Amino acid sequence: MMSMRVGIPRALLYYRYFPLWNTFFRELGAQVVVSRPSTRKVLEEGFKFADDDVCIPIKMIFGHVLNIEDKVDYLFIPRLLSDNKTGYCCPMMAGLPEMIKYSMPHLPPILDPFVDERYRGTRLSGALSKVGRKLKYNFLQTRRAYSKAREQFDQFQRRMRDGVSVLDLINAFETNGCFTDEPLTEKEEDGSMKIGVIGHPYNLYDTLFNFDLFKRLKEANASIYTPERIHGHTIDHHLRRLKKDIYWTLGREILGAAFHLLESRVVDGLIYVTCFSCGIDSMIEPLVGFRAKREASPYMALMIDEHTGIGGFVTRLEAFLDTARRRKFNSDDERRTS
Amino acid sequence: MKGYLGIDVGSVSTNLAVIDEEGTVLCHRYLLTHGQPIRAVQEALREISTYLPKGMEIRGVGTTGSARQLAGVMVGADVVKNEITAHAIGTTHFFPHARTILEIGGQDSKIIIIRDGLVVDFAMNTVCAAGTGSFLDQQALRLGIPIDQFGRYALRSKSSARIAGRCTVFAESDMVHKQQIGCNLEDIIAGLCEALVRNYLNNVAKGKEILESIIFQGGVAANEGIQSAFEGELGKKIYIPKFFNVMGAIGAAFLAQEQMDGGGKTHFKGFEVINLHCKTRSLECKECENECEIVEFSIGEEVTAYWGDRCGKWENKL
Repeated sequence: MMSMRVGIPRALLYYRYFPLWNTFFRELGAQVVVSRPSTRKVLEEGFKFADDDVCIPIKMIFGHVLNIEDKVDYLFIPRLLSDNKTGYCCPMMAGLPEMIKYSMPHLPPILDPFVDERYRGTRLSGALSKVGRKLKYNFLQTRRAYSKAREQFDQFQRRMRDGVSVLDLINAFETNGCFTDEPLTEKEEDGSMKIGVIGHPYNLYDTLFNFDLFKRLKEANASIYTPERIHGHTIDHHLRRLKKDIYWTLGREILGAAFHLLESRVVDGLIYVTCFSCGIDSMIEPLVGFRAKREASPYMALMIDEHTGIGGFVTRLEAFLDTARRRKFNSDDERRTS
Repeated sequence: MKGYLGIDVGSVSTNLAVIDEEGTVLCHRYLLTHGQPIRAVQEALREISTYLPKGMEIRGVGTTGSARQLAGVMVGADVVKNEITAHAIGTTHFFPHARTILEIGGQDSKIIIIRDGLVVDFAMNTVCAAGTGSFLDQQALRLGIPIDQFGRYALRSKSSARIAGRCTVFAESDMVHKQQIGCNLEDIIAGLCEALVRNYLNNVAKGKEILESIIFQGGVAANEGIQSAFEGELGKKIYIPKFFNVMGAIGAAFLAQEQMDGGGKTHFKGFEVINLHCKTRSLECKECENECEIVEFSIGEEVTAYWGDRCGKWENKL
């Protein structure tokens, strides 16, 4: 009997949960099919089906679904409402399965577990058990698959916190099917500059959206700090001083990470990759900007949208790195002379 | 005598400047690019070579502007820098106390915030070119006024017409409307200048602290109407430097000087590049789905550079 094929689009939450999802399905004996890396063409295919007004990462997932729909028995597109105790995801994320189901014809059945970490019954483990049950696996099988998946996920998060590049980790995971202990990137490369890069993971790590941002930063001899490197406790600690908690779960992480990087002077400059028409970014970005001003740290928001050209992106990035570098060396000089 | 050459190739103009070891500007040229950056650079080099003192040795070359890479490969640049850094370096040399640079060029506009001589923040217009030089050019043409007279018309206005500045499409239809209801030309032009300034301050300069001294440069700084609209809106004095339209090139020359400071030999190919037959060709790489647009640059029959690929395969080919 041929094993069941489950398709995972390489978009949105893929960049956060792929090691967990992949291990879960493989442990159940399914074959996981991931769409190809993002390209202009994948995005343009997505335009044909996605609503005009949605943000560009949502349009991208349509292209990825199209890329694998005819190669799989099921599509896996979870509905994430909340991944912590207090907040919510954006409505696009919460309504994603419907948006796709009703915009694209001839799709295979969609596995769309409802995940809401605020309540016991809808946590990720329970949601995936339901998926297992739907696929006719017994309780024990899904429990075992989930605990294996969780192991890999914990390792994923631990290594991200250690400073291993998220993209390197995911790529290595895809090649090996699991995490191995071999070191991927030198933990603390001693770059001449430390640059913080924040934003939604699906904007930061998508190969089309980020215009090789990480490669360019490495070429400029900068070490990179992303929100994944920062522990949840640190993020909570920095947000506790706000008048109220941040409503959006993903935005919360970005803001807490930004506050930490700015206030503890970990980085010489901070870049926020935002996305046009993102409601969360439109709220969080100014907050980061105000804090950067207060801390007198070089800061830049790079916005991606359908018309973003590489020219403007590179010019801004270069100018920003020049600014950060000149300021750093200037303050180093001052410290030395005083 | 030794000097440094700076080249700024923008969408609309191509500017060259030569400075000496002391940082004095020896000569400069401002030419229209006319969509042909290679020819514009050659033409500007030809003109500037006739002005240079006899026996002048070019010790370093810097390029900047949106065609900086192309110009850099063509002339053999020692440093290729973005225009924000170049402008800031050029301006702070002449105005050590500058704290804000407003720069409006042919297709882009920037604001550069400087504190204690260092760039601390900047912003650049994104996809929208409303309020840049090209739009003013286009409107001057439509109204049949030479662009260099545009500012003078604006200054003659007694009460400016209210024009929408958010978008050039709306601005234009607003202008047509005002002209049809009988507003005079001076008031419409003054209104347009104010609209552009409002648009700039609300978009590009949003959230930036505009402190004095304020320097206004770029091609549009030639327009007195815009200068006075800035002064009116900000309530502060706006300075326009003598070299307002070639500041990027001057900055690039300073960057070249900085680069060559430690000695070493320049990559400059010499003024002979004026007569070389340079050409570019673009091709689409089909090796993967990214379908990068590759630019092939050749001098005579020989291909000397490739760029535009994301994987680096073409770039490293030669």
